[in-house]
Amino acid sequence: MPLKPPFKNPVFHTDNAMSLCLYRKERFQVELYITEAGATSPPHTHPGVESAFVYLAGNIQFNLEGGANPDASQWQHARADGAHMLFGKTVSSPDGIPHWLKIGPEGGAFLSFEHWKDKDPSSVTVNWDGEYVGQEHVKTVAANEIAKLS
Amino acid sequence: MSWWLKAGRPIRPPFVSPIHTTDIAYALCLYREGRYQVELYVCKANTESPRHKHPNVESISMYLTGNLSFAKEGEDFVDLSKFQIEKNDGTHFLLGRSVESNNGKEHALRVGPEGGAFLIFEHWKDRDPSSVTMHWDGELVGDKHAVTKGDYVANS
Repeated sequence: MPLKPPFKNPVFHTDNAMSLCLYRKERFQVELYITEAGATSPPHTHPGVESAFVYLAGNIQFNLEGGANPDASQWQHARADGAHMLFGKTVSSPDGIPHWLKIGPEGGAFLSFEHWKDKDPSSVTVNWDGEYVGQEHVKTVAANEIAKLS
Repeated sequence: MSWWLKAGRPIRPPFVSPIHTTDIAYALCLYREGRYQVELYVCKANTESPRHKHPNVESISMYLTGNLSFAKEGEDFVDLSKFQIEKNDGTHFLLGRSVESNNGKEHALRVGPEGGAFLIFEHWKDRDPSSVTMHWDGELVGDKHAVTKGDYVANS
C-alpha cells in the first residue's frame, strides 16, 4: 500500500483515538486509526462518506445499526504468522447508517477506506454526525471549522 | 530500514503488544520480526516530550508528515521550519527523509501546530521488542504514559 500522507490535514485526534491519513487522492483517502485501550464511541455517521474498515490489530468491536455485530472477542487469537486472526478482514460502513466502536484492553488499530461523495476529504473524525466522544473531540471539530473559514 | 522499504513497506502488525499510547502520541507496530520492528507514531499538535533514552535500542526515524523537530543529546531542537513545504504531489517535503538516528542516547521530540507522524525502525539489541514508549528511561510524558508503561523497567 502506498504510504504518502498528505501535507494538508494529515492528523486528527479525539479523547481516545488518533488518525493519520496514509493516502489521499481526490475524493478518496485511507485513514489509519489508533485507539486507546477501553475506548468507546457513541453511535454516529459520517455524512456523505462511504467507508470500509480493515482490521489491523488489537481488540475492536465494530457495530453497525441493523447489522449482525458478532462478538469479536471470539477471534482474539494470533495467526501462525503472528498477526491477529482478523488482520485484513473488512467491514462496510454505508453512508447514513450509524456505527460505533468498543475497544478492548489491548487498544485497537484499523484502516478506514473512504469515498467522500460531495466534498474534498479531511477526516471522518470531524465529518461527524452524532454525540461527540468527549471534549477533545469537540475542540478538534471546532478547530477544523475555524481553519476552513480562514 | 532499506529491507522494509524494498519489500514494499509491509504492514502486518503483531498480535502481541501492537499498540501503545501516551498523552502526546499513539504508536502502532507496523511490522515485527525477531528483534527488529517498525513503529508508526502519530503525534498530537503543540506537544513536546521530555528528554529520554531507549537503552540498547538502535533506531532510525523517518519523517512522514506534519511539523516535527528532534533534539539529540546535549543539543537543541533542530529547526526544520524551513522545510514546512508541500511537494507537487501533495506530500510533505520531508516525507521519507531519515531525520534522526539513535543508539540509546538521550533525545526529545517537539510537535508543531499541525501534529505529525513518523516511523521508527528499531533494533532491540538485548531483548525482544515491545515499544520504545514502554522501553523509556527518563521523565515520562504524562499520566497516560505512566499507565501504559506500568511497572516496565527499561534498565532491567
